[in-house]
Amino acid sequence: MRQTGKWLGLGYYLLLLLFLQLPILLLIVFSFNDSVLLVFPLRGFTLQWYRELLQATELINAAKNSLLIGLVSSVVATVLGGAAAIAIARYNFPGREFFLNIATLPLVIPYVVLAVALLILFQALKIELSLWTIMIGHTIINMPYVMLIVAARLSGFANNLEEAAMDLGATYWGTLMRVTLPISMPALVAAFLSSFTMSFDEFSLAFFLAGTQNTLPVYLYSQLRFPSRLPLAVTTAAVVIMVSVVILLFSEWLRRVGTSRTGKGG
Amino acid sequence: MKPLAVELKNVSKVFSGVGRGEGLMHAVKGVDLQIKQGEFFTMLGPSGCGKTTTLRMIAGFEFPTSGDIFLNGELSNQVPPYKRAVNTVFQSYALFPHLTVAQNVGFGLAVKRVPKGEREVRVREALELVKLGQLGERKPNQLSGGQQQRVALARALVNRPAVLLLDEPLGALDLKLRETMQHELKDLQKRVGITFIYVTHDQEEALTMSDRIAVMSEGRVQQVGTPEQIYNFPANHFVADFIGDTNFLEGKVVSLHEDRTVIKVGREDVTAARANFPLMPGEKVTMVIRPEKLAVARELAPALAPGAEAPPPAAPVNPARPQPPRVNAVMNARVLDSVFVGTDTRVNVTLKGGTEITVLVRNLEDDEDFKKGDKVVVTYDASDSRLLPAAQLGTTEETYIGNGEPANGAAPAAAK
Repeated sequence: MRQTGKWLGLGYYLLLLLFLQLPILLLIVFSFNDSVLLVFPLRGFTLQWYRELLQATELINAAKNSLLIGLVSSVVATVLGGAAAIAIARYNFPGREFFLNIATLPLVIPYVVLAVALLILFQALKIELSLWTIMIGHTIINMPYVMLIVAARLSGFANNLEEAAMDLGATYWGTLMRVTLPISMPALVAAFLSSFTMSFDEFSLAFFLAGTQNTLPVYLYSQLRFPSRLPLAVTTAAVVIMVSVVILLFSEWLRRVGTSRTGKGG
Repeated sequence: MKPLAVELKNVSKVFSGVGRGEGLMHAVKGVDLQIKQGEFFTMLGPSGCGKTTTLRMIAGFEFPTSGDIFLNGELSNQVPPYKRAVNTVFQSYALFPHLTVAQNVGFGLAVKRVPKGEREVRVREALELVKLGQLGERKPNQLSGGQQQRVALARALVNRPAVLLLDEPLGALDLKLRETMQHELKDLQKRVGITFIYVTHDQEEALTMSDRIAVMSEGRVQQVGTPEQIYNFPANHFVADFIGDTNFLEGKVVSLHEDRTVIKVGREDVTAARANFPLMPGEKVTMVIRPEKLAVARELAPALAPGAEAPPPAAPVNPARPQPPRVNAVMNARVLDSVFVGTDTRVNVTLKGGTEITVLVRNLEDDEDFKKGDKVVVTYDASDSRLLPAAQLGTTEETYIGNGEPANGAAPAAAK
C-alpha cells in the first residue's frame, strides 16, 4: 500500500516536472536544430543560430538595453527597498502599517494596469518615453520584493542588536555600517539578483513605456511576425533562460548561506 | 566626596500607544533612585513594573518624559547611548551574529578606534575574565547559552564602563547554571569594582546578589534597602507580599504600648510590634510576620504561661546550633494541615475568627506530627512582626488579593 502510494507520488512529481519544464527544454533543443521550422523530427545539430545571434545588432542592442535597465532599476530598487525594509523592521513609527500596505501594493496590481497608469502619468508630466521611463517602472515593481526579502531577514534578528551597537559607542551611521547592513547583506544581494531577473524578463511595462529603443523581450515579441527570424528568437530565449537560471541558483544559494549563518542564540 | 554613580530625580516615562491606539502608558511614575559608586544595585519587581524601562532610560535607549537622570553627577537626560559611560548586558545577549566572539568583545573598542594592539590585549583579558579564553574565534551561534551570556558580559566589561546595566541576564539560563552564574557575577562585580545595576523579577536572585534592592511595582519604587531590610522590614503590603512568604493579619488596634501593639484579629487579641507610624485605638491595621518567625507547639512552655510577662533574656549566640527563638507573644489556633517541604514542614493553622496563617517549622528528628483540628499555640517574638496601615497609598487593589490569607497562596480548599 505504502509502496504504491510512493510510486504514485513519484509519478505525479515527474509528470509535473515534465509539464513545467518540457517547453523550456524544447526551446533549448530547438536552438541547436538545423532548420527554420520548429517541428520534429530534429534535422541535425548546428551552432548557426548562435553565430547569427552574435551578428544581429538590433537584437544585441535590445539585450544591452535590457541589461542596463535591469542593473540600474535593481540597484535603485535595492537601495530604496532596503532602506524601507530597515525602517519597517527596526522602527515603530506612526503609520507604519499603512506604509507597509502602500509599499507592497505593486505586488497585487497587474503590470499591464500599472504600465497604462504610468504611461498616462508620464504623458501628463510631459516626460518623453525612453529607457529611463522603463527603469522607473521596473524600480516600482521591484521595490516591494526587495523590501519583503530584506525585512524578512532583519526580523530574524533580535531587535536589540542595533541597541547593543549604540550601547557600545557606535553612532547611528556606525551602527548601520557595522551591524544592520552586514547582517542584511545576503538578503540585499539576493534581492538585487531577483530584481535583475524580473526586470530582464519583464514585458508589459517595457512594451508600454519604451521610447525608440526596445528591451529584449519586446524585441523578441516583435520578431515573431517574421517566420524566418523564429530560430533566432528561440535561441535568444534559450540564452536568456540559461543566464536567468544561473543567476537564480546563485541568489538562492546566497540566501541559504545567509540563513544558515543567522545564528539565533539558544 | 565622589558623586553618585547614577541618580534619578522624579523620573517618569509615558509611552504614547504606538500601533493599536492604546492611549498613554505610564511605565515609570516619579522614580527617585540614588546608586552609589561600586554598588550592586538591583531593581526587583514583577513584569510591567517599570524596572526595564528605568534601566533603558539609564542606558539612553529611552529618554525620560519628565524628571532628571544624573550619571556620575552630570545631567544626562538626552545624552544618546553611545555617549554614555554605561554598558548593557541584554536579556537576549544581542551578540552580533556576523562577528566572531573576539570581534564581538572588541566591538566597543573598534568603534572608539582603540589601536589594534591594545584592543587585542584587552579583548583577551576580558575573555579570560569570563573564562572564555579559548573561544575567541568561534561565532556566537556555536556557543551554549551560558557561554553567550559570558561573551555579552565580556563585551560590556571590556569598555571599562562606569556603570554596567544587566537586564535579566540570567533569565534564559536553566536553574543550575543560573545559580552558578549568580555567584560568578557577584564575584566578578567585587573584582572589577564597577557599579552594577541589575534588573530581575526573581526575588531570590535579588536577595542573594545585591548590596541594595529597589522593589518596584506599577511604575513606582515601593522600597529601597539592603536585602535584610527589604526582607525583614517591608515598607508596605506589596513588598511584604512580593518578597518571600508572609502572613497578613488584618485587625483593629486594641491598645498601644511602649514596646508593642495589641490588635484584634477576628476574635483573638494578637501582639504585634510597635508601629513606626501614628496609630489610634480602633484603627484598622495589617500585621505582617514571616512563617519562619513563628513556632507552633501543643502547649505553652511554663515560662510563657499567662502572667509571665517579661520575655526571657536573649540567649548567648551559638551559630552552630539553632537557638530556641525568643518568644514573647502567643496566638491560639487550630491546625488546618501540615505539608512536608523538605527541610521544613509548612503548618497551616487558623485563628479564632478564621484568619489563616502559615508556620514554617524546621524538620528535626523529634518533630511532632500535627493533624487537622489539633489545638495548638503559635509563639513568636513580637518584634519580628511589623504593622502596616491597612490601606496604603502607592499599592493597588491588586496587591490586596488574598487579604487575611497566608501569602503563599495555600488555598483553604487544599486543606480539606
